[in-house]
Amino acid sequence: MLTVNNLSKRFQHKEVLLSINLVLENKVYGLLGANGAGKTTLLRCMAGLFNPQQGEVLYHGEPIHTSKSFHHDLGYLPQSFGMFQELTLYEMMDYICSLRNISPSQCPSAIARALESVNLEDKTGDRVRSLSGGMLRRAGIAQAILGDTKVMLLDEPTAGLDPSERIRFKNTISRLKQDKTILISTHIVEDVDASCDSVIVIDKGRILFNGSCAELKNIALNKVYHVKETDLAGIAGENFSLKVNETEGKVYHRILARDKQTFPCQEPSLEDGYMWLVKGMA
Amino acid sequence: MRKLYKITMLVFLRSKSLIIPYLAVLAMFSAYTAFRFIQYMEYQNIFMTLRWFVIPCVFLIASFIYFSYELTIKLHENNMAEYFRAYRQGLWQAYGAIILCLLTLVAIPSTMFLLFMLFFYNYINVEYYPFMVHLLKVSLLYFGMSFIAGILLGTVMAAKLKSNRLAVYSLTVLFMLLNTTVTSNLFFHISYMLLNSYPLEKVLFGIKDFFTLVPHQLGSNFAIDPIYGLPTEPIRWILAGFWIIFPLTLIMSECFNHKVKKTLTAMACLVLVLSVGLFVFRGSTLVMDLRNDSYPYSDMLYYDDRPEADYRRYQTEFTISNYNMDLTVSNELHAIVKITVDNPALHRYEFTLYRGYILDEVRTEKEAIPFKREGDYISIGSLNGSDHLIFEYHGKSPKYYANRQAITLPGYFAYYPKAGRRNIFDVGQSAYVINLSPNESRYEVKVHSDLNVFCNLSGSNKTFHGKTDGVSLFAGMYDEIADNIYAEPMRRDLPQKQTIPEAEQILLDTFKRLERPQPEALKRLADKKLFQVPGNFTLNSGIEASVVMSDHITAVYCSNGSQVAENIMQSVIKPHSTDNRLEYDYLSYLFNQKDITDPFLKKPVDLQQLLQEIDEWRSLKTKLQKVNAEQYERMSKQEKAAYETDGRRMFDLDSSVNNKAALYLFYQSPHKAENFRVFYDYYTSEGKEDYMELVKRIIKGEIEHADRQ
Repeated sequence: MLTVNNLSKRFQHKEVLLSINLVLENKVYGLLGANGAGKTTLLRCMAGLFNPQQGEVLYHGEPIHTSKSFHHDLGYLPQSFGMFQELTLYEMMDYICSLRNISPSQCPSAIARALESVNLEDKTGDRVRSLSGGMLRRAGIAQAILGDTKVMLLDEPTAGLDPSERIRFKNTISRLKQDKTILISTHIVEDVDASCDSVIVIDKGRILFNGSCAELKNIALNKVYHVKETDLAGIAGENFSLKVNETEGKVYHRILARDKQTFPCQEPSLEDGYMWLVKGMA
Repeated sequence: MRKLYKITMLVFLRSKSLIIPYLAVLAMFSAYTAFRFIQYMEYQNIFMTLRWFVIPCVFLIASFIYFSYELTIKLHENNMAEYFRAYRQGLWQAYGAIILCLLTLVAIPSTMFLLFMLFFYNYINVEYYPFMVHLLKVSLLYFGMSFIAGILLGTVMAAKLKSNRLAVYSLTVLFMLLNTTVTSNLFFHISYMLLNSYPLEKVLFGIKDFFTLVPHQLGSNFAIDPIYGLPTEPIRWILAGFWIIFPLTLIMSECFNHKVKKTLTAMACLVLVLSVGLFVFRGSTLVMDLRNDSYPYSDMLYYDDRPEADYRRYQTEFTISNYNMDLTVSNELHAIVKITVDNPALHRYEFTLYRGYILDEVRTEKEAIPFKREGDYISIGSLNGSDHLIFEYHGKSPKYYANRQAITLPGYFAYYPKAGRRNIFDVGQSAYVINLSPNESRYEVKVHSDLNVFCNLSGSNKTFHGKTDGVSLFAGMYDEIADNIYAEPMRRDLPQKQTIPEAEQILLDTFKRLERPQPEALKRLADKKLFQVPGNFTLNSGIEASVVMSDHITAVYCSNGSQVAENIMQSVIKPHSTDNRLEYDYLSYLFNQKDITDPFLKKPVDLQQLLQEIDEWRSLKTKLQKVNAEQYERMSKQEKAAYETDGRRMFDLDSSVNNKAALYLFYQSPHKAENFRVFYDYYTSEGKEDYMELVKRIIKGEIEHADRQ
């Protein structure tokens, strides 16, 4: 169990994280937030890369800096990931095995398992420089799950992936999530919807929401309306246009509105709940 | 770690931008070393070759900065550092593997050089063990530690400056320049041409020295003293150690977080403060460049401004009968010197002690005595009934060094208190003054040093005693090469056993020819110890080629008796001489050193023409000397052109008049024996007559004599 207690982080005079409190159990968590919301900083603090000005991160009740098991159990994928271009994928994984103190006898099987999980088992002999962006991202996930990883902190793992690779990522997470705490930072709501059990919404360094996906959706229950563009003037009170689409030559707006409207209500999505929160309408 | 090391090495070997330059550097280094070795076989000059060997050092360091930076930056450019750091000591392990890999790459040229040095030592066949130790030290310091510092500098720049190549390579170029004489010239010119500031020079050169990993800088043309070798003083090791430990702590601080990072940063600061402190108090080092404090220029510049009145107006009314000297040579000289004066009733005592030695205390056995220090001079009042004085001092001289690497303290130099006020450096002669005691004092000398110390006094185990007019101490790559002959064993022009007896005989014959009594000091030379001193002694002083003291001789060049005899004669006549050119020829003709097959010697001198040329030369000299810089600036173009023409003519005449005069007077003249005598009397007298006036008088006399016949 990973616990974040009253965590604050400041760069120069800019407050990036403000009194963050979280308890992460063996589940897949999506960390949703706009660019600059503080997702990467939070992940780096949780991985022990940043020293917070206030608060602490505990792993099974022990601060991560003194915990003997945390760094062994941690798998971390940074936002921008790379490897030595001169090495083959296998050599690079072998190198990371050494860094993670995985015993040499267990390395070949651990590498095979990890690469198989991300469908890169046939690329072991290929030089890193010959891998595509998506493959490299999957290789990043493979290095994060090498060995007996129990905590995975993945920073924007789907950035730059094409739709089929995103589906493959979702499947990979589904396969791996057993007995693991996985935190996926992203600004793509669909990814969270597809892969995560719980969602944490962060905005301007503060946690706005921490709960299940269904709970986040429910926040926007009876607040989402499908309105013709010509009827927009009829919306009462504070509202926000989420999406515009065209159906049979007519333009429709998906509207989030605080007050009860005369227009037909829509089933809320995760994105509706998220937007309801970040637009400060809650 | 073995696997990390192996894989990192694979990265290096597969990276074309690294492996190709590395192999090219190795090949060039090997070819260069071989080329210099071939040159050695031709010229047989050990220290010139050694100097050439270390020249590529700074380029190799720069190459290692490049290799280490370009290898390490791959961690950052491929964004690996962030996730490596998330694993326990992951980034440190990655850096460790890189450093180990680079150490392997450094080990190849270092080992090559070390093995080559051992081969070189065997090849030159000198069988002098301290020189082998010196070569090993040079290999380790110049080709080992400085390379390691290079790789750590490259690594730390990758860790701290990341992909900012402009900054990294600008710093590398700056670092290289600080290890060359380019910055010596630049700092010298900035300090004096622009701001005329000595403190600024000290600061600039202090910074430069702190960055100097290759003590023998690229571009330096100064010869190496075999007694000293290449600089390997303790401060060099400390600086090399600093440039290894400091970047290493910075690299480590990059790899860890929280408390460890803070501890490492504090450690880096501590190492910096400690090293700067040790650097500031580094004591005596060999400095051979343009700066004011250097071996060649320091005293010349300092004494240029000193008024002669400082020492001329004082009469010494006492002598020192006993010296008891306790000398500790660590990074500089620390001395406790107890003296006994023969006249304890005086109200004032004057002593000379070189200005570089800082006097801590003067006391009698009972109490401290107030003293006044003015440059080289110490003034003391009454001794309050005591006839003993104890001087406690420490310090250094840029020329006569005394440190853990070597000692060259000749007895004629005031490194211990000498009675009265004496001049240390004669600006007119541009030479150090031979300061010997007028009497022979009794000495008890104890030297504390790790070096094997040689002294003119008898004794062993660094304790010496006896009577002399000056105590000389030498140590370093120095040895007793024959009975009572001490020299730098690596020199090719070593004195032989028969050198001094030969010189003595030649001098005896010369004085017979001159029909002049041989000075007492020049008798019984064969009974004296001979100390061959480093060649650089004559670099800024024309009278140290040979110095005869009551019980020993110091000589720079002494491969044969004739050369020693000539140098000794030079020390006899030099203090009264003001013309170097004629005096040089006088000695050459006197000791038959001229090549008699030279066609110049066979061509008869036209005396009338010579007299005309002398007049023209002297008139031009007077005319040109009258023009000062201000007057020159005011001249018209034509006047300036005429001035330049006169200058060129005077320069030509200067050489021809002196050469012809010497040729005639001391070689072709039927009265040459008489001429030798006249000039000996002239050179050894206190007369102020212009030497050219004397030349003219003799030539006119000979013309008249010839006309009469």
